[in-house]
Amino acid sequence: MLEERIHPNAIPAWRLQFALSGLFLFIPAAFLYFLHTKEVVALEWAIGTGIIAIIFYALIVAFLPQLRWSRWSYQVDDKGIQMRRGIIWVQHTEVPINRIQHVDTRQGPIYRSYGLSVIRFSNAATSHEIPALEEDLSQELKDKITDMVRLVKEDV
Amino acid sequence: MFEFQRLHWVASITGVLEVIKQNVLTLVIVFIVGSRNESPYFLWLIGAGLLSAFGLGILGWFRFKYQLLEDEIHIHKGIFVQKKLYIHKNRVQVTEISAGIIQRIFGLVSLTIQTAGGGSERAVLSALDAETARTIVDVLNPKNAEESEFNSELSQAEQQISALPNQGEHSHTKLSPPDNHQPHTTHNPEWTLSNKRLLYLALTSGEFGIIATILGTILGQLSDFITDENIQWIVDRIPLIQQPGLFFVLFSIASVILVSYLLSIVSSIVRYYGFTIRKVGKELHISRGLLERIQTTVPYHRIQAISSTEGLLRQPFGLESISIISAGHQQGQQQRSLLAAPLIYSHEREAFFQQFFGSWELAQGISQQTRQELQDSTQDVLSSVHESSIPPQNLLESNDGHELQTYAKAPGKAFFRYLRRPNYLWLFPTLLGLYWLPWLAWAALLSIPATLYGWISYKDTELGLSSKHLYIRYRVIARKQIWIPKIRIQSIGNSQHTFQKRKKLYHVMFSVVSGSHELSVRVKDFSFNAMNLIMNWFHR
Repeated sequence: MLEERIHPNAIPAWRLQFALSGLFLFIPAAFLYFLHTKEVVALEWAIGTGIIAIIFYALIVAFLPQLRWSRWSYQVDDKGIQMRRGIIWVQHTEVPINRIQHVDTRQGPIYRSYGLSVIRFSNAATSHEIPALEEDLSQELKDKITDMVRLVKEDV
Repeated sequence: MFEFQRLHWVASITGVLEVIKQNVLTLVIVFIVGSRNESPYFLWLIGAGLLSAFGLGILGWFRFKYQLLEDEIHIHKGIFVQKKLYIHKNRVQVTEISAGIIQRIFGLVSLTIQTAGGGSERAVLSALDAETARTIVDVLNPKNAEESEFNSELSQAEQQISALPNQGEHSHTKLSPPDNHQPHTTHNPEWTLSNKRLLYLALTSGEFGIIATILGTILGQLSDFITDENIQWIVDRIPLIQQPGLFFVLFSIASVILVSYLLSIVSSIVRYYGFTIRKVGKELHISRGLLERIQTTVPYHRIQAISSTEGLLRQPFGLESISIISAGHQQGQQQRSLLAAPLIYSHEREAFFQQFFGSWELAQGISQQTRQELQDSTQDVLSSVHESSIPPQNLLESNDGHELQTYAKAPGKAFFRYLRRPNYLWLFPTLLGLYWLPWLAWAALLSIPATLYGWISYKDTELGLSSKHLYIRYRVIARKQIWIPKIRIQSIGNSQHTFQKRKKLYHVMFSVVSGSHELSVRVKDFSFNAMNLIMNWFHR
């Protein structure tokens, strides 16, 4: 685990996100039910798929946010930004400050209502994100990193 | 020179051709649809298409203007929407002067300026006289400039090396010696691809797979042509064929493969004929091509990494290709790495590095002796003090011309993971399909090549660290080696899967910029010790 954790508000925010996006799990069941009304498949198929979807939905909404939050940590120092995350694949990434091209923050409606925002660092090749930091903190971090980047002389 | 000007009018011809080339797919579709019905509309459509291609090409030339300033170039282009493209020389990654057939007829060249980043526009000045092109390249490439801002230590080191006298590296290799006969050229190392090698290159390019796929698709489209009479006609002329059905299929497959192999040979020869790489001050000049002469200029401090690839067809002969990875790229064009040596014997690589990338550490990778030591020791990490090839003042952590180098390989406990991994590729699809198609059980035979491949990749995986460079050898079908300066690493990471936890193994990832994308290199199943060492090396 690295020094900093992301904001605990991420848990309810993610729960809400998962509760909404998890509704897609019910699409197969709905489709099978539609096929049933056309008398293509038996009702049991639709019910079975529905039950599986409900189980997954419940698990995702109940446990995943907490689990994901507890596995996310990061650290910013004068050398670089380190991020550690993942439940099954534990990933640890380090992005050196002198390779960062730009930093931006971003906020969707759910994050806004919980006072959170995402901070993203882009280097010449790709970008990395720390999700769900407190708004003020992410601004602060953005300014801090931008200042550090400014001192760097190398290019790409 | 310092005012807006148009390109040579030949640019309008290339413009027209470019428009036609871009819409070639539409044209093909129109032709196929058109050939089915005989209405006159079809001709009108083709006529209108060609006319608009001409219009667009000529207008495009008319609206394209450029202006060369002291250290940047301004380009205004676009027919309906005017685009203004300002490229400062600090942002130029790679420049390319090429002369296609049309340009050659008029004695002109085309200049492409490549910058970094995803959204960068491609800047192509498609018809210039050679002198102007050279001037622009000279302005945009900081050859003799003071460039204080972005001049990293690396390029300084490069400069130092180029100033050093070149010792007798040529005696035991086939590398061509620098041209000492001309008094005014201050000794530019040069390497050329001989015609014999060009032939080897063409024979082993391994590109025919791609061409065969394309050719096969085209053949599939020609179903009109494949009629019973035509087949009978071919069958009649080949006396060996008695059973038309099966033999015709085999014959077609064989001929597709043969034709695509020949095509790949021709395409390689056309592309790499007369390949020459030359070191000029702080730049590398690469020229190549038979029909289209292409001259690429890469400043040393724009090189992101160097890689070498030993293809399956080449490794048995001890041959490999060396390429330069840069951040320059053309928008909408498939990233093809820039070859520094299209075909070179592996044992010549060190001398090649000495000539062109003198300051790069770990140029020989891991020496045979060290590799043996690493194999023999129980540890998977080995450190040794090496005599540095670089003058000590260039090293950050130098100690009397010696520096610490660390090598690592996948530990023994990862061996069976390496053997198993390629097998998953066939195992899971087979298990899924087995229920419906019992004969898929034969796929189990694939376990032999898969396990063999796993064994080779285990042996091939190794990594070396020096104070400024990272060296990795790994295998993705072909054996690859990559050298990355520490300051060019965009990010570094490790990952651990639940199944790796028990054995304390980690994948370690490095990424560099390659064109607009990220080139991510991953070494699999390294021990905690090695992983920690690498992460600390980077963080230091």
